Amino acid sequence: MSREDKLLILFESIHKVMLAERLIVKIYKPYQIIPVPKQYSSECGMCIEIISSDKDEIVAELQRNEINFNIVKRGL
Amino acid sequence: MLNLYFDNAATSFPKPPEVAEYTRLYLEKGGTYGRGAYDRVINVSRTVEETRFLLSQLMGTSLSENVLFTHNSTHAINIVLQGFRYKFKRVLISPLEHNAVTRPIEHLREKIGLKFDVIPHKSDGQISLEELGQLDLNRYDLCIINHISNVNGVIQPICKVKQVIGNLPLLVDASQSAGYFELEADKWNVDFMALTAHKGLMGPTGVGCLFIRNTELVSPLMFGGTGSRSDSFLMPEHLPDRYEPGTPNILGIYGLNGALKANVDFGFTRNDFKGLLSDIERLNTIKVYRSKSFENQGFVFSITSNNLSSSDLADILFRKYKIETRSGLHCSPLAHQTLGTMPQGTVRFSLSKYHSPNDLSYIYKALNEIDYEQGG
Repeated sequence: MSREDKLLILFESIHKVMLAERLIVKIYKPYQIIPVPKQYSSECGMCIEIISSDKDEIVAELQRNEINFNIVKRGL
Repeated sequence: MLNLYFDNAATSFPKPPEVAEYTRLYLEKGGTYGRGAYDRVINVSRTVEETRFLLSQLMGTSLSENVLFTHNSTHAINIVLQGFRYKFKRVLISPLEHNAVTRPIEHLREKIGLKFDVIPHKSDGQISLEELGQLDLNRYDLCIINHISNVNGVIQPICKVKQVIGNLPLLVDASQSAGYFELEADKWNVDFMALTAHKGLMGPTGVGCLFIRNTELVSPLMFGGTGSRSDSFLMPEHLPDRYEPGTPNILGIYGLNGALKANVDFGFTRNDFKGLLSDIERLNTIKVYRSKSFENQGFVFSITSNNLSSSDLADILFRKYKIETRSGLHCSPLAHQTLGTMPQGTVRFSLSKYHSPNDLSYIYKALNEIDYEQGG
């Protein structure tokens, strides 16, 4: 799968990254924690990479749990 | 084998095996918190955040990001007292406060002219809710309550205090209650709660936490790197980073994580403890300092002897009976002023979940012999 098929979810803190990870695991979606790419304004050092097609379900789960985030396309 | 360590209000011992297990795990695997995004860091960050979540559950709050890691309760209390945005420069404190509260207040008296008043109370230090309600609470910035006294074990009615003081912010020092009694930060509507890992939670020293409900009330005490918003000279506004500069005590947090998962049951019953207090109270030369009502009694109490100084009594208990206690003022001169035990202080016994009824019986046996030898 190419980078074009991936999205990045950015969070303000490691606390939120870890909360989000737990939720993504709970709904059985694949993900990877990676360093925030330089081109994005980094609020904390980690972000979560997901597959684009899982976006809606993951976003819904994060919003349901009141977790603030930004979602961006994985750069090339 | 008897467990004769009765200084758990200072630092608990023994620790559950999980504490050593999780501490060793960190020493073997290494890694840091939130700086980088490789597996070793991710695993540490997961454990740190899981510990924060477990602490939020223990404190009875749904706001896990408002639970901040500190070195201990003293550090947590200093964050609140030194960072508080005072308007009236006057605080209200319970009559059984520890120096963790009174020394920062004294420092602030010298620095900004902060004053304090002691809440009206009964002879055992129990807050008088009726008299508290009669005070002009609009004169104060903050109310500070030691949930359980580290001298006589009196439990203060936090929920009722908050109902009486209304919007006046409340800081609760839960150092002696965490691990023994249920904490309900949300239900009680407390604004700040401080606790430490190394007492009733049976975790390691050097790690504690502060629950802070409203960050607008308190500026950070320390400033530095957080691994977030690294492009700015300013501390981040968001929690928990705003109050957590520098790498946290990861080793301590791992040990605390083990302690919080250990699930140790009490080895004795409340009735065993009640019986012990009643038995000691029957001795002629020994006076017990405890709550007037057993319902409001934590697992700490003090004694004095009619004939022996507190230090001599503690020394006899150790030399002759191998009982480890603490004598003196227990860093709480205000509590001793309240109880009338200044300047000699008391001999303090503080229990652990690892004690058995036999351990409690042994205390009585030793004190009974000492009482007899002292003419009781």
